[in-house]
Amino acid sequence: MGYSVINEEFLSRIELLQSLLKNNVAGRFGGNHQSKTFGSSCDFSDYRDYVAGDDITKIDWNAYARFENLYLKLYLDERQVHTRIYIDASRSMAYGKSKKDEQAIKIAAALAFISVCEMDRVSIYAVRGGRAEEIISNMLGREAFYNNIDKLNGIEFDGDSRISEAILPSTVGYGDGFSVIISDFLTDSDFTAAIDHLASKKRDILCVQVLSREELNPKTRGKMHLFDSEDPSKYYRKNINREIVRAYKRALEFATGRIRDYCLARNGHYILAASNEEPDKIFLDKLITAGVFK
Amino acid sequence: MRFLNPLGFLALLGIPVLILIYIIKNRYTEQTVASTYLWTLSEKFLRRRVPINRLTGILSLILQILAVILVAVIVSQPIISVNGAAEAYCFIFDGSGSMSMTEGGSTRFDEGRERIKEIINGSVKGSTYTLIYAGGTTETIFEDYTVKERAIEAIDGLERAYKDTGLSDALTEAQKYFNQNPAAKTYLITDKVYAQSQNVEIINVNGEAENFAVSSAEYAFTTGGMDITGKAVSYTGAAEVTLELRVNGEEEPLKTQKLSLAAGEEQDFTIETDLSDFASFELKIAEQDDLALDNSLTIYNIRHENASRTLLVSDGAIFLRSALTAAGNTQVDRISTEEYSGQTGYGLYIFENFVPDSTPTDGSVWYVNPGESPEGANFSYQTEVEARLPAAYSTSTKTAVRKVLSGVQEREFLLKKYVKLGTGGGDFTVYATCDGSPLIFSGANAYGNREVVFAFGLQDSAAFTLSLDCVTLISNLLSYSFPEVVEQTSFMCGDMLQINILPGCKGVKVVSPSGKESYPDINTVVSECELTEVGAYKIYLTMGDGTERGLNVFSALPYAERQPVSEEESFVLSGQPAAGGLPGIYDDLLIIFIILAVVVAVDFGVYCYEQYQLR
Repeated sequence: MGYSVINEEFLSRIELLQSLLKNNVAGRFGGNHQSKTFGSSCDFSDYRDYVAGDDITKIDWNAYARFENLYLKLYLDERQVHTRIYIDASRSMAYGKSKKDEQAIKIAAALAFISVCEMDRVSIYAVRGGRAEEIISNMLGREAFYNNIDKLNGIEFDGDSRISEAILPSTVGYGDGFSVIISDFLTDSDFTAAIDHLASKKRDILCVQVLSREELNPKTRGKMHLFDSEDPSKYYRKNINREIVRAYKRALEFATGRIRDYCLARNGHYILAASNEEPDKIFLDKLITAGVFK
Repeated sequence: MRFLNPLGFLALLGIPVLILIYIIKNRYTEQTVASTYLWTLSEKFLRRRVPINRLTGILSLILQILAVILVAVIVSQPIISVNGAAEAYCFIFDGSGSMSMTEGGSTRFDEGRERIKEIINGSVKGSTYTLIYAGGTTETIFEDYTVKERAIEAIDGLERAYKDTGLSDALTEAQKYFNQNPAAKTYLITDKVYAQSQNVEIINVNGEAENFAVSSAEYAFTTGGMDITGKAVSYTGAAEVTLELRVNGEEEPLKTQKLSLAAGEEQDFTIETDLSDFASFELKIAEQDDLALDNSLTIYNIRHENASRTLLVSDGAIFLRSALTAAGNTQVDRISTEEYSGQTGYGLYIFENFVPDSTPTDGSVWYVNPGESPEGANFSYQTEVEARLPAAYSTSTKTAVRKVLSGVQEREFLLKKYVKLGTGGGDFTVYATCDGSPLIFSGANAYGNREVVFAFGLQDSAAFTLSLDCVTLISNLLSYSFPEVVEQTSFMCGDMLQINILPGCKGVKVVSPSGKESYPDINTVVSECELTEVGAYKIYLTMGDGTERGLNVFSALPYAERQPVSEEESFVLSGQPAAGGLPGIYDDLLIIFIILAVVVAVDFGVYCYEQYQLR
């Protein structure tokens, strides 16, 4: 990136955005609200099997005496959630003039700001290759946000990204907030495993697919030999005419629909954002419509 | 199949060039994109294509290659030869006078010509064409032409004939051709109807033409004037016609007469006039019919046509003038001997009792009673002699003598004196002598002109000058001096016009009714010229001094050609016709040009479609 995406202007803009959201919707994105997961309040909710690593103080020893199995007592908890944002840092996000990378950073920053304003903890990861590199860890409060958010400007978009391979081994938390994946999802690698994994961890899932204007409505025509920016061995060679463009749009519809349907099937959320789309439109329209903000 | 120009296939070298251009022109634009994922995925959403559709990408190239191949083939001039598809055509075209009849707006001649052209145009290439034309003469215009256009051009150049051309010569020619080419298809194009024909297809171009004609005309002077008698006829049906008489080329008719003509029968007519003389008269049927050529007949007065001016140089000449007038020579200019200063432009110079310094060079010369020897004359003066014996006419049986002395009744006449003349070298004819000396004789002078000498004064022989024999002899000598240029003025088309070449004549020109000029030979006594058109012919004689003398004769349509439909017995080409034709050649490239045009058009369509697809 030739300039800082996260700058004073942008920060003031997301502050305004956050204010608007707060005034117009409940803004239930992150902490200070009753979690649908279990916590340590006084309101008993349920039992669950003990797994290694659980707090042994939460074990219901009475139940153990009765059933000879270790169960943890679960309580509905008014607790702080942890928003984890994964940014696809592959080269395809930054290639050419698409500015998908900038849009991804802007969305991540905005979501992070909204979260910290709700007193949630926020971690931001860059998915590069098969790893999720932690860019900002456990950021809490506005001060921390302002101190750390500039780190997003330093994300380098290069190489490929294998989202599932990166997220599965990482710490994703359990039932403690949103997991946001921001990517163009233009990859053959399987991202569904990551979504399944997050769903199994009772995470709220939000997939933001960022596509460039050219990807949404290609203007390329004629005899073209297109090379993939991430893998030059991949190419597409055709005389691109109206028929092929029509097929492309059907493919785009199929690809976006597949992600959307996959997310919805797992109680997740999905939005499609154009790289040149204004944040206002994304946050005040698409995310509300998608039910991310309630 | 063969190729006239196999080098044309060099054009096929254009194909690799075309492919090279296609490859260069159609290079794919390389571009790196963020991801080819969606593009690759789109393959699954493309409609399934039939294999032939894969060619659509190179359809433009295919069409262009096809166009190059077609160009190569066209340039190579392929000829497909099919045995027996072509024919040898032999056309016998009747160009006689009756073919000039007009039916349906065109003449039979034109109709026949079109029919021949239709056959030629409809024939297969490789055919041969032969045309035997029975026009003015029967001749083979072309034989075994293979190029249609050339044959048609020659046919277009044919000219109608007006004479009575029989087809016997044409049959002979056609038979010769048929003997050599028994497989030939022979056509006879005529307006005659044949009762029998063999090995020939007769194309009749006759129709229901209406025709009436002035058949003949004569004139006779009577005490009250001149009567014109003649015959008129209607060949196809009864007709009421108006006969008009025009005299001396005047526009307005002098007389008109209604005639009721019965079909096929000649009708006599008589027109009485008060004319005492005429140069020419025309009889014309005013009504229009399908053959105008025989509707009028012009008679030229032979005496007027052959007349010439005479210069009489004499100080008295009472006897001579009256004799000349009595002999019918009305164009006499008389001058005195003092007035004579070498005038020219006359057909006859008569010097009476006078001898010029030199003999005129441009006409006949008469010397009457010469007193000395003129320069250029064919005699020499010796002396004047008293006549002791009567003058005697020659008793020679020579044609020239008998012709001049024809009509002379007496054998001799008396005279007082005469001049003794010595005759020069060369031929001379003596008509009368006196005491052994030539008294009246003729010959040729130094300029080749006829010369007549009277070796006595007319005033010295009342017995001669007052006799009828004088008028007769002078009339005959005038005819001798003015040899008739033509001996008749009425001819039929096809006749030979005989022109007597006058002494001193430097050139003869004959102008036909259509304006065609011909120049008969003048290095002979009688020159001939065939009359091939109907109407008035003009004959111009250029004399030695450059003056021109004009005459008219009329050439009429032959009677046989006036019949709208004439029936003939047979037109038979003997022999056994052979089967089989000539190799037909199909080299018409029009269809290839059309295909080429379609290919180019389709190629352009494909290009446009591609551009539309790439929008």
